[in-house]
Amino acid sequence: MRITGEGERVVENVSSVRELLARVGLVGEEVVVLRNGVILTEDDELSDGDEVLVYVVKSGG
Amino acid sequence: MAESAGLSEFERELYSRQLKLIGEEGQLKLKKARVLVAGLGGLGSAVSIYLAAMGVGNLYILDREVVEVSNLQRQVLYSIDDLGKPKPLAAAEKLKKLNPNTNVQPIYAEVSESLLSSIDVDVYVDAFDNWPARFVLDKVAWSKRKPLVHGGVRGFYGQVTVVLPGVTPCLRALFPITGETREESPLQVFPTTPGIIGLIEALETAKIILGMGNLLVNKLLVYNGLQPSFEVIEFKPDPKMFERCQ
Repeated sequence: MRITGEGERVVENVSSVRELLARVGLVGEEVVVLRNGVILTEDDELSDGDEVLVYVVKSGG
Repeated sequence: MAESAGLSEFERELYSRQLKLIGEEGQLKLKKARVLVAGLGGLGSAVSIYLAAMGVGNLYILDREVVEVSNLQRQVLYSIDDLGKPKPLAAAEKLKKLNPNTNVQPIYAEVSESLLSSIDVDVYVDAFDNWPARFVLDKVAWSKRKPLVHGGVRGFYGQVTVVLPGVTPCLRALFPITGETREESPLQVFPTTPGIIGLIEALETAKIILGMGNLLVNKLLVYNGLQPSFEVIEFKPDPKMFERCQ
């Protein structure tokens, strides 16, 4: 998994985007999660070996 | 040199530094264009200044707030003399002095679907500071099949993307995970950040109007001011994403 601007890390044993975000402490944050360029929702499932990019969206104006 | 129909001598002088880049045809496209800038904070200040300066002929500027002291650090449309004034009114005054050829329509109101639906524009610019307002704007722009230029900032970071009905999904589909609404301390943002992101929004808006260059469609431009870096994240719209736009 890559979090833009914060390097890459390996996260194991997560089966959904929701679990992934909880594992890396991003629950409640505004994020865009992509796998192979496809935007995922919290309900989408993840599998071993998935390469995921997480971008923490900025909401200020 | 013969005076071009549609551009006055004053306009030809005013835009002399860009006429060779975009041609008189391009300048007339800007002059005819109608743009809504939704939000007149850090982003909106930068966007609207440059849209007026380049000659966008019709600017609708929307905000619900009055000018406060903490705004002056980054909302470059305002000065000490504007404290307490409704932002759209203070902004309109400045923009009209910057470019008297730009028709500026200030809208001092809460955003709502009915309000936005009553205004017809060619491009919507998202300079809001919260997701509920952004998604109202997104819904209206999508329903009218008009482009929406999105920008967001925090700290030294920001992003820009262009929503183009028929080409990209809507903003609600691009950002399906937006967290919970929560009270938080005042937004921390370094003043150059909304300046940079706002100017990129202004540039994307101009490119849409002019039909020039490549747009940030199905692309998210991510800015990190500390590294510094610009990164473009490309994404592939999945058909199911469009269901969220109905």
